[in-house]
Amino acid sequence: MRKEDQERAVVEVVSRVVDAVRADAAGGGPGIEDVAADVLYHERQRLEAAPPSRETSRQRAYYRDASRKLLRSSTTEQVGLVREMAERFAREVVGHFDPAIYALTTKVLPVGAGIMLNAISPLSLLSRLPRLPNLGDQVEIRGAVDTLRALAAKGTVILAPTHQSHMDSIVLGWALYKMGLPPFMYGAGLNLFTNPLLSFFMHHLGAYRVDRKKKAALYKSVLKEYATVALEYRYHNLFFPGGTRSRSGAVERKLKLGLLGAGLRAFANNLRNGAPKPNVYVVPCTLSYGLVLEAQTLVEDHLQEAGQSRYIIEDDEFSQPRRIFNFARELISLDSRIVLRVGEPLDPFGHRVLPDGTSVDDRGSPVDLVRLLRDDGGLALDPARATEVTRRLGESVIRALCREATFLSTQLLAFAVFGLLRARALDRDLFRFLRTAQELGGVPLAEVYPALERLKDGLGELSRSGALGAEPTPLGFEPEETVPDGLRYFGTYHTDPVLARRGDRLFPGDLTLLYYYRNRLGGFGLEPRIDPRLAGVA
Amino acid sequence: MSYPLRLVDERPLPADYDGPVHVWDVDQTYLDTDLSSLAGMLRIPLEMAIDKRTIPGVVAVLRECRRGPGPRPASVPLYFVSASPPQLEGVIRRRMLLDGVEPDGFVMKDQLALALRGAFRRLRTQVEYKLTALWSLIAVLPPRARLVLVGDDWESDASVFARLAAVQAGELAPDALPEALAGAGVADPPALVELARRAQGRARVESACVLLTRGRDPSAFEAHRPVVRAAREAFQLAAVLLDGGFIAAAGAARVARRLREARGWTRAAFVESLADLSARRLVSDETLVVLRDALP
Repeated sequence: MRKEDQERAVVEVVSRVVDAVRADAAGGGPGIEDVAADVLYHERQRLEAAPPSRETSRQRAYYRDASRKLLRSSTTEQVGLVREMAERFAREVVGHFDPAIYALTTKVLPVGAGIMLNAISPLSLLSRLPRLPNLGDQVEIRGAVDTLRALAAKGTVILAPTHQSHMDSIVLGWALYKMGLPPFMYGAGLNLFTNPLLSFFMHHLGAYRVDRKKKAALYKSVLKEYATVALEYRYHNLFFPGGTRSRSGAVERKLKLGLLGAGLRAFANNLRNGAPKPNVYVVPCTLSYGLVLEAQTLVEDHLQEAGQSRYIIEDDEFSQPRRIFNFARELISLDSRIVLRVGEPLDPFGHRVLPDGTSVDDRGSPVDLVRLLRDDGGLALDPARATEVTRRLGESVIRALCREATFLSTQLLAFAVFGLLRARALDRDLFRFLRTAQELGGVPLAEVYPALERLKDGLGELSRSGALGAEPTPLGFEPEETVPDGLRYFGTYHTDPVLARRGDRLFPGDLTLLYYYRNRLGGFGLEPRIDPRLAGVA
Repeated sequence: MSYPLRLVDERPLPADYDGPVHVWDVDQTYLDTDLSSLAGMLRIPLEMAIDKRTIPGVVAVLRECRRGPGPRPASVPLYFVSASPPQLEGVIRRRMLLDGVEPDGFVMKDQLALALRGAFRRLRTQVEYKLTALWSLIAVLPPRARLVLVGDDWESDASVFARLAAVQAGELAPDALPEALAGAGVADPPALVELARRAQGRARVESACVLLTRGRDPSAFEAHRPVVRAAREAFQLAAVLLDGGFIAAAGAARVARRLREARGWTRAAFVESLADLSARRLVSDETLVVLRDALP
């Protein structure tokens, strides 16, 4: 958020949150004291587990003091305390955007990073001259780009991408610049601010801080309201609707609706306030990588029983500069492409939006959104109705993310080889299979090529039926090319090759990673294409 | 004492396999290694996989060899014999991985062991190593495998291939080898004779070709015809392999396309290459017709 908007945003967020707390209390919801007590309880718990630091001590002292105040406060003083807490949260969350840093980042960094990564092999660097290597060249942008541009001028956009890696924010930031769009605001986990260099850029490029360890309801309200206010101020936003990186590697099919709901709230507020460009558009998009930086940590977390509870991973590959360096170097040496596919936009109700901004229903008939809202009793949103509308929007986003999913050679090859191996050991559950599949030996290439042909047919059918886009394999899918290309990727970057060829067979080196990469194609019903016995197998 | 080399075979073929087995040289056949200068030689061990350059079009030919002539990929056995030391195996393998070349095995010259033995002359001479390497490889291949050999004009590949073919076909007795190799710097003729004796009658040489990457005149290799044929570049090599039935016409077309797209070959360059093939009668008239139709 630009400097001139930060203060008024904080004031607006705090006053809306406090008004909502008071209204809730008056309407029989949690009392104001309860809201304050909830903050004290959750913050104390968080601070108990926090590593000792000056900041931790300062916060502990604040909450001790707040606790004492709460005990002997009047209702008016309780409102003041809640206001104070909300303001502390809001000031912590609010992001800053510095145009000078943005210019540096978009113009200098991709080339600088490209040179640095190529400098590991000066011969390679020299061979490219006079053209300088550019990390940005690795990103391929496809899909409804023109529509996105048009709608960004007509209203405010919420970009809703799949989330595989912490690299996503960086890649998306670059892609938006390449598409000629202004920078988008986005929420970044506090763990991403621990690296001083990354933190510097995050701080200055509009990222607002999201501390997932803060569990207080008041904090979540501040976050949602900040996103809503930012949309009303016409800041385009980037929300990862899955909430966190996909642990399994699959396309998201369960979404966190909280922030997506901000679009509907902002739209309703815009109409109420007579904003000149009130519309909010949700644009689903997918990102596909041949290799995923944090694949190892993510899939291990997915497979662990505790995986689902480990919402915040602080010790993954993204926290290791050396791994990031190796990853980016492989990206360049393999001339690897990251595919970003922009989907058809949706309105906050989940209807499809045409390039001219018109919402249309399933039959293609225009939908009057203002009337839709008015029909619900005026422009004020009933919370239950808002929840239902956002749920429907979530379903539309999931369908769009699946439809826009794109698949690269590593995912295609992993899907085929994993399936062929799995079909040999259907009597084992997934976990036993992953532990013991090495003993099944290699998969003959003579089986892999036909399996890939069948997979190609299956993808073609899904594409023709509309369940997938027109180009599910944007970088091509010829089995004779997919095998060596997939092996090229699998033989680099990861500590153990995911899959390696010896003679005329393919051998899994790291089965959990093979599982991770195959999961991208999971959930599309393609398993029986590899082997009919895989129908319905987990 | 046996010749120090490293043989890796990752493809146990069935004992009754009677199909082709491609055996390729590495330096100056697959990799564009600078062997002509001291600086070039010194750079070899320092280069990373992405730094290594390949001979134009050869990667496409190698992939077609691996694919075979049929409608579906056949994973035809593919081995490499290199005078590079085993210490370079990793970087060569990685380069092959990047190129999508799928080796089934390697034979590499253990130069460190030679140096430790004080056999410095054997570090430089290649005929003895190459024959030892090929017969060692033949010993692990099925007896009825049919060898397709590809080398270059930098060392003595043509004469090595010709002698190997003669021994395997029973036209040259192993005992006659010392005389046939006189002047080739063979340090241990009895060991070579013994290897040849054991390999005799196994794995015949069906085709052999040298790629003229050094630019030598093809007439220098006329003496080794019809066993060994000399190809000026990758397109002619593909033509020879198509003529022998080892790659498909569509495969030769893919090689041509690759040369055009990545190396800027013009139609005139292809026509000139075909005219040379015809003039030297390197391939049959039928193959020439197929190649003409396959031009991009």
